[in-house]
Amino acid sequence: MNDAVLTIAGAFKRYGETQAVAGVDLSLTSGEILCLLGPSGSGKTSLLRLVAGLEHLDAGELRIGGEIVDDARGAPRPPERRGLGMVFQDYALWPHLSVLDNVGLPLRERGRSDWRKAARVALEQVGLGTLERRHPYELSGGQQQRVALARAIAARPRLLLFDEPLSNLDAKLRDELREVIAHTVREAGIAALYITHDQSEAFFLADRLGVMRDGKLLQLDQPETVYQRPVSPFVAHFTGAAGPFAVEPLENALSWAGIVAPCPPDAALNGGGPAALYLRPQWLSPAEPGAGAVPGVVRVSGYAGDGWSALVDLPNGSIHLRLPQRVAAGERLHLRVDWDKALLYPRDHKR
Amino acid sequence: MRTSAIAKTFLAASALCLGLSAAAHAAQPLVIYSAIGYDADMAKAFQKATGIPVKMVDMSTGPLLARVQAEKQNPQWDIVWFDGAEGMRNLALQGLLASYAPKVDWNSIGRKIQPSDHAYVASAASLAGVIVVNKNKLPEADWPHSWGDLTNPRYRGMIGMNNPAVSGPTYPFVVGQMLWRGSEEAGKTWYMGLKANGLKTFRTNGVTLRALDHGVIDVAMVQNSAGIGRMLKGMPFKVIYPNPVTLLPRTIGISSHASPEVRAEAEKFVNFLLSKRGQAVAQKGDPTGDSLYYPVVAGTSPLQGIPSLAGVTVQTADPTVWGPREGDIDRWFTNHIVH
Amino acid sequence: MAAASETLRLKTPVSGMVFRGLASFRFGATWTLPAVAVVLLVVYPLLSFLALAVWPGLFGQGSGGFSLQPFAEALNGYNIEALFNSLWISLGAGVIGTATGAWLAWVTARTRLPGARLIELGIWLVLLLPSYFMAIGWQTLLAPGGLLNLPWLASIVLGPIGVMFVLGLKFMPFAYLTLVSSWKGLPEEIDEAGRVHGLGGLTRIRLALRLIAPGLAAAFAIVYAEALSDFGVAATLAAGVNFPLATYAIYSAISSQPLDFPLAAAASWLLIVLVLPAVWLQARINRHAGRYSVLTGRARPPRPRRLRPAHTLLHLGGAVIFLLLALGVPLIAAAGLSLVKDPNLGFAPGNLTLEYYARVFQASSVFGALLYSARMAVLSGLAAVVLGLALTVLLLHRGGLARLLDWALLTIMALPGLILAAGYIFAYNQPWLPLYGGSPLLGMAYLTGALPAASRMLLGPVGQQHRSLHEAAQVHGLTRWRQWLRVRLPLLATPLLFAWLLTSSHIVFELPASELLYPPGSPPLAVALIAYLHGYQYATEAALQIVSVLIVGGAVLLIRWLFARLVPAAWRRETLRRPA
Repeated sequence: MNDAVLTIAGAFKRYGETQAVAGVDLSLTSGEILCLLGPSGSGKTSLLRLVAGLEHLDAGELRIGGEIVDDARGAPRPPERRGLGMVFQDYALWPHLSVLDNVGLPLRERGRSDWRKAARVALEQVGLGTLERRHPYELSGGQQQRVALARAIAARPRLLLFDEPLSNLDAKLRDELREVIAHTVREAGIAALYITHDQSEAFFLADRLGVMRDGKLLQLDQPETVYQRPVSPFVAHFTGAAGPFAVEPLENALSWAGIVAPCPPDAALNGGGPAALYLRPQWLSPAEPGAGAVPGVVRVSGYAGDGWSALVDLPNGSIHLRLPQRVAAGERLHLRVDWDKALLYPRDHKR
Repeated sequence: MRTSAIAKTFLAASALCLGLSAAAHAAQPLVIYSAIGYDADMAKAFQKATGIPVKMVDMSTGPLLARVQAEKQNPQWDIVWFDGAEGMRNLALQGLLASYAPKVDWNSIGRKIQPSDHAYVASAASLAGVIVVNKNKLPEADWPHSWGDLTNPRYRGMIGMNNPAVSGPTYPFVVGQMLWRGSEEAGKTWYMGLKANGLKTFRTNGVTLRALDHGVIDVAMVQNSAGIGRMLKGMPFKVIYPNPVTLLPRTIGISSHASPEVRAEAEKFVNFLLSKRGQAVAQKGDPTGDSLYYPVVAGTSPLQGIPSLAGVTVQTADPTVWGPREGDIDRWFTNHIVH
Repeated sequence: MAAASETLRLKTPVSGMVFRGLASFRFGATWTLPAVAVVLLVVYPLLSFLALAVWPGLFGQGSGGFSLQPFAEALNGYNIEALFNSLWISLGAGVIGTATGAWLAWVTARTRLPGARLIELGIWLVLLLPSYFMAIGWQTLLAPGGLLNLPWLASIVLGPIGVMFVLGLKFMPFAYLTLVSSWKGLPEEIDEAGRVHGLGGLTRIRLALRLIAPGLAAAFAIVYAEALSDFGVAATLAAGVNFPLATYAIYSAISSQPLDFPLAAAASWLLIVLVLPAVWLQARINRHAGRYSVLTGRARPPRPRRLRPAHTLLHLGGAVIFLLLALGVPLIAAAGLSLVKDPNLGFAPGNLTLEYYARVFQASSVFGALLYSARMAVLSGLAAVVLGLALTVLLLHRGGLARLLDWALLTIMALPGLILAAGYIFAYNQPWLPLYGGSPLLGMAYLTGALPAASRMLLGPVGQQHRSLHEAAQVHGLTRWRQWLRVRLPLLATPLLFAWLLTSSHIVFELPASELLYPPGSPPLAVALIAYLHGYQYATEAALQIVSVLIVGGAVLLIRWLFARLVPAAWRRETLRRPA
C-alpha cells in the first residue's frame, strides 16, 4: 500500500438512473501499467474520469500518491492539482498551439523555466523531434497521438491516464503506437491506468489487467491469468474465447452433443448441472475423425497470410479458427481439443 | 474567471456612471426636451446671453411625449417644448407643469392661444392645415379656394393629406373641420365626402408634399409652414388660405418638479425666447421649416412669404375638450378614411 | 453481489448526497453573477414595464390597482389587427429569411462559386444596415414620384408583401450565420452515400435539410422573432401604407394622445405570447438532435464542390438579385437622394452635387453624435460579448435554469427596443436607483438589446469546442482561469471578434433606446439622423447615412484586417476539427 500511486476504494458513481461505477476497488503501484478492459458502458471511462477529477465520486475514496483527492465528502481536489498526465481518445491537442507549445504548456503552468528543453526531450522520446514547429492540423492522426503522449509524459507526472488512445487509428498505426506507448511509459517508469475495449491492446500493454462490466471490476490479474483462467463466462468471452457451447457434465467427463470428452481438471462445477464450455481457437487443431474428435463444418473461410482463417460451426455454436491448409465452405472436418485448458462454467453463471 | 470578468465590467460601468452623474450635478444646467427645428440655436444663443448651460434632448414629438410620460414620477426635464396644445394640456392635467405668465405684449394671435390658467406658454403658431397646389399641374383658374370646393368632383383623385395618427400637426386640422362644421359628426361627414372623392392619405407633410411635387396629387392639405418651406426651396407650389384656418400653437412648459433656481432659469429661457433677440434666432434657425411661424408677441412680424391673416377666420381647438378625444378620432380616421 | 447492486440502484450513499449538496452550491455560485446581471438588465426593467398591463396605477401612470382593462383594450379591433398582421408577416419573413439564408449559406459553405467572399461581405453589410435604411430606400425608390416610376411594383412592394420581403431580407443574415455552421458540419459522406445508393437530387436535398433541421429551426426562430420585434420597417414602410404592425401599435399607444402605457404593456404581453411558439419549436427540435456537437469525429470536413457552369450562372444570378434587393436599393436610393440637386433630373452630369456631404462635414454636432455613438457602441458591444459568452456557457448546461435563460433571451429579441427602453426609464428613474439620464444606462440598454444576438452567435462556436480540449488543459495542470486564457478564448477569437463587430455596428445605428434614454446634451447618431428627417432635410440625412455606413463599414474592415495581420493564423482556423 505504501508505494501505491493510485488507490481506489469502494468507488460509486451514478448518472441519473445509470449506475456507472458500482463499488470498484483497485490500486496501482509505481511503474505499473494497469489496463481496464470492458465494453462501452462498462464504467471504465467513468472510472478514468473520476481518477482525473473530471467527475466526482458519489461514494468511496480515491487516493493519488497516498493523498486523498476525493472522498465523496469534502471538496475534491481539482484535476489541475492532481499531478496527472492524460492521453485522450480524440487527442485533444490544442489546435492553436504549435507542437512544442502543446507539449510545453503544462510544464510552463508548473513553473518550469526549462520547459522548452523538457518538451523537446519528451518529443524525442516519442520520435517527433523534428516537428516541434508544426501545428496539430499539419500532422497525421498517428503523429497527433504521439504529441499527445509527449504532452502527457513531459512533466513526469505521478500517474498517466490513457482513454482509449488508439481507437481512432487504423490497425497498422495502432500496433506501432502501442509499442511506442509501452516503450515510452516503461522507460519513463511512470504508473499508468489505461482503458480500452481492445483485448489485444490490453494484453500487450498490461502488467495487470482488469475486466469491467456494469460498473464492476470482474477480475483483476496478470494478463496471462486472465487469459487462462477467466473468472466468468463474460470475461472469457470478452478476452476472445468462443462459446458458450452447451455441454452436460457426466461422471468425470463431458457430453458435448453426444461426444464424450474428458472433464477439465479444475472445472468449477458444483452439483453437476448443465454447463457452458468456452474455447480459445489455439486450443483446437485439425485431427482425424475418431474418439474425442469434435466434428465441424466450415461456414466461410479465407486466406490470411500464414494460413486460412475460417468460421467453423461446431455443435451448439461456432468458432473462428486459423487452419494450416485451404478449406472450402461446407467442408467437414474434425478437431482435437486441448481439454486441459478448456473453460467450463455452470450454465446459470450470472456474469 | 468569467464571473470576475463580468464583475470587472460592472465595476467599470458603475465607476463611469458615478463619474458622469457627479459631473452632471456640478453644473446645474437647464434640461430642455424639445421637438422644434431651431431649438439648438435657441439654446446656444440663450447660453451665450445668460451663461446658463443648456442640455438638449431633441427628437420628434411622439417619442418625446413617450419619454416625458415615462419619466412622470421623477421628471428629468426642466422645459418641454413642441407643437400642439393637446399633449401639453395632458401634462398640465397630470400636474407636471408649473404655471408661468410671462409679462410680454402679446399680439392678437398670441392672446388667442395663451391658456387662461397659464399652465404653459404658446410661443408661436402655425396653421394646422392649408391648401397647397402644384402650379405646374393645375392652372390658376382651377385652384380651389374654400374647404367646400374640395368635395367637388372636379378634384376627384387629385387631393392628398396626412394621416393624423402618424403626423402630429394633422390632428388639430382634422378637429378644426369638426369645430367649424359644428360637430364631430359633421366633420366626419365632410371627410367621408373627401374619401368618396378619391382622397389619398400619406404619412407626413414631407411625403404628401413630395407626392404633390411629383404630380401624384395636384392639391394637398398640409401644415402651412411645410408648404411655404417647399415653395422657398423652389418647388412650384402655391399656398391658399381658405376660411377658416385652425391655429397650431407651439407650446413650451416648465416642469413643476424643477428646483426654484432652475425654475427661475427656465422662466428666463421663456422670456429670452419671446424677446426680440430670441425671435430673431427663432426666425433664422430653420428657414425652410419651423422658422416659418406666426409670432405671438407684438413687434415681430412673420417672415417673408407668410401672408397676414387679416380677412381669414382663425380658430383654435380647445385642448381640454379635444385632447382626450385624439385617440378615438385618429382611430376613426385610420379605419374610415385611410383604409 | 446481485442483491447489492439492487439496493444501490435505489439509494445513493449518504456521503454521496452530502457531496452532491456541496456540488449544487458551487453550481449556484457559477450562476450567481450572470443571474444578477440578467435580473438587472432584463428581468427588473421588463417586469417594471409589463406589470403596468395588470396594475395600471404603477409609476403614476394610469389609476387604480389590479385591472384587466388594458388587456381588454389590447384585444380590440386596431390592436388585435396589428397583432395578427405581425404574426403572419413575421411567419412569412421567417420563411423567406430562412430559405434565402439556407440557400446562400449552402452556396458559400459548400460550393466554389466565384465571388462567394463578396456575397459574404454583402450579407455582413445587410446585417449592419438598420432596417429603417432599407425601408426608406424602398420608399424613396418606389413611392409615388420616387426614383423609379413603376406603379405596378410600387403597389406590390409598398404593401404587406413588401413589408414581409423587406423584413425577410433584412433578418436573413441571422439565418445565414446559423446555417453556415450547419452546412459545414454536415459530412460530405451523407451526400455521397445518397448518390451511390441512387437517390435523386430532390431526395438528397430533402435528406440534407432534415439533417440540418435543428439549424433551420433555430434560424427560423431568430428571423421570426426579429421580424416580430422590428420597429424600423413597421414605422416607415408599413406605417406609410397604413398597414399596422404590433410594434407600431405599441408605439402609437405611448406616443400619441392620450398616452397609454398600460395598453402598451398589455400589447407587449401579447407580442411576447407570439414569440413563444418559435421558442417552443426550437426547443422541441433541439431535444431530438445534438445540435451543438460536431456530427461525427471521423467525418471529413466537407470539400466545397465545383458547380456546373449553368448552375454557377443560376446561383450567381440569384445572389446578385439578392444583393441588389437587400443592399442595392437602400444604398442607391440614399446615393440618389444625396448626390443630386434635383431628384427629378436623376444622375445627369450637371445635376450632381456634393453639397449635402459638405453640410454633414460642416456640422460639428453631427460628428459629435457619430463619435459618441461609436464610443458607446465599442464599449457596450464589448460588454455584450463578455456577458453573452458567460450566458452562452450557461445556456449549454442542461436543465431548467438554462431553458429559462434561453426564453428570457428570446423574449428580449421579440420585444421592440422601445419597450425595453421605456422599462428602463420606469426601473431606473427612481430616487433610490437614479441611473436614468446618464450614458451608463443607455449603454446597459444597448448591451441588453445586443445580448440575444451575441449569445446566439457564440452558441455554435462555444458548443462545438470539444470538451476534451479544456479537459486536457485541466488534467495537465491549467487552472480554470488559465484554461480560458490559454485554450478556450484563443480558439474563440474569431467568433468573439465577429460578435463584437456585429453588435457594435448595430448599436451605432440603434434608434428607439437611443431616443428614449440618451443623456441630455449627447445625442447619438440615430437621433441626429432622425432630426434631419424631422426637418425635411432628406438629402442631408441620406448623405449622413452614407457617410456613417462608410465610416462604420471601414472601421469593421480595418479591424478585420488588423485581426488577420496581428492574430496568429492558428487562432483563426475556422474549423477546429481535426482532419481525420
